[in-house]
Amino acid sequence: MQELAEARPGHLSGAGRVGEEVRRSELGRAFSQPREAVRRRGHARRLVPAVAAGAVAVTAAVLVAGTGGGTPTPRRSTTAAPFRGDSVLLAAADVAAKQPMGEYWYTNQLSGLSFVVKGGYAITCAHMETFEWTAVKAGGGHLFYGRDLPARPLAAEDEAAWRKAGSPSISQVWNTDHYTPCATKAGSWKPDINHDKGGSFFVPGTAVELTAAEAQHLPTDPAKLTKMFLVRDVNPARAKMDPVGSKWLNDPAHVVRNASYAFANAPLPPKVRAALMRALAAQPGVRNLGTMTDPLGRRAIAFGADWTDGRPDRGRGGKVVWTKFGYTYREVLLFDRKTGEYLGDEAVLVKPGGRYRTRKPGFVLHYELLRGSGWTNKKPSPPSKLPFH
Amino acid sequence: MDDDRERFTALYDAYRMRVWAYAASRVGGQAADEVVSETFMVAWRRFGEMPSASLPWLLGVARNMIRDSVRAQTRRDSLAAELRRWTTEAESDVADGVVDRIAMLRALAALSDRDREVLTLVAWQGLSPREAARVLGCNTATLRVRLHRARKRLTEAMSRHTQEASQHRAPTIEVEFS
Repeated sequence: MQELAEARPGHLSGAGRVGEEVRRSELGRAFSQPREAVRRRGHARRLVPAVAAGAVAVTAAVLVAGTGGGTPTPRRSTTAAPFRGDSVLLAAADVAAKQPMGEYWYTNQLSGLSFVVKGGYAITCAHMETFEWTAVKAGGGHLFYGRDLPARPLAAEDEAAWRKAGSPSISQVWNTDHYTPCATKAGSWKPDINHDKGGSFFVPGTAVELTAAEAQHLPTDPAKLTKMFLVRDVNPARAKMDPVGSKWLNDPAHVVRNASYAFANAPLPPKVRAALMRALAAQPGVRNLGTMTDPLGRRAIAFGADWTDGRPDRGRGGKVVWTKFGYTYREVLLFDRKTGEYLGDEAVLVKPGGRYRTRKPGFVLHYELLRGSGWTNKKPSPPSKLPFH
Repeated sequence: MDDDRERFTALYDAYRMRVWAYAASRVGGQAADEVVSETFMVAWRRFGEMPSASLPWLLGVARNMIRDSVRAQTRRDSLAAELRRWTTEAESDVADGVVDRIAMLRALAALSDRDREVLTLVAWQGLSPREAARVLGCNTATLRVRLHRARKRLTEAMSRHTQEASQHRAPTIEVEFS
């Protein structure tokens, strides 16, 4: 065993510290989770309702886009206009075909969580912007930057209520059983210390890792893309042991979220992106939601699927219990109306209740927006301009 | 910051890299980041029930996360890539004993995931059999049996690779999963 211990690769020593950016992001994600009540012997397990459950879990990967910001516009209006899916997809393929691959791929992403404060309006807190670039060639490097964004009223009506309340500075919000801190001003970009060599792109969800070349040569067959990016393999033994949790892993809203990981994290060539959109649109439970306006004020076409109320949670002895939230929400993906480019992912309230009983349908529980993404030939650097301004 | 958050942050600072090293040894470096992040999210949710032996508990959470969220095929692929990286790193190392290290890593790579896991928990994570048993959710006696068998298979794989090397055949790295 001594020999084996000595063969351990240096980077697996478990020593050292993680970069500050990752540390803050991971602790921030952890602290945005609601605490579960301690289970005591002889008492039934009590669960604190989970916050925007899935939302939080997604925070890790964020992405792209290139289009500018905007002022908060009146929230979404869903139109009943028929979705001209194919024309949008073809336009997307056309635009993207004109963008040659470069030496670096970058993505610039925003993430925010919404909280309802005492005055009855919603604030986006735990608000962060990230910028990440990856060299196409292994050895060319990879760098991740993050900066805090100040808390801000979520939508126009929230801004009006906040102003009416005297535009208070908001440094923390109550989150189930503890305070989550909010930045009151924008932080500066901080690069993460990292020794990553670049050359590959990791897509969480179905956990696929691709090189840029592999991404360029992905199939356009919807069945293959579905298997690769949208639907998870569930071990039959596990499915038998935990039918509830296993089914939940591939429910339509999960499939939509998996798609968001692929759109946001992999440099998909236009024809693959278009094929993946078609594959997603064909999934059971996934619907065309018409036109929406995202929190950056961009008009977008939207696809989405509803979560059922609650989620499975593992109790003592691995027994799965279903925890209800009292509200339902929808996982929504946004695409540029003209170019078909991916704009981001949001969780939108469908049936108010529980912690969102005072909100109306359409309220955004959390979002991960792609502010920009693309190829360049020189090392990219993060934008100095703040979003929303 | 309240006491719990302070304690949790201290715990994170103490063990984050350990959890990452464990996850990387199971699924490769890239997937490990996501596993670590999700692990500490669960850890905070369940902080109230965390036992005093917190490292085995954290590794157990990470293990469940890997089992539930990372597909077997992907685990195999990303780990195969990681193993290639380990041996490449070992090859570029000029220290004494480097040949033994490479042989050892190659032998380890040839074992099943199940064997590799128990060996790395003990030899790389430095856990006692009792702690490793907690991570794996089995009792200590079972753990000792698993460890004994895994060591035997590692020794066999070592001698196989040594033979191959003596025949000037470049050993390939294959990862099998039980």
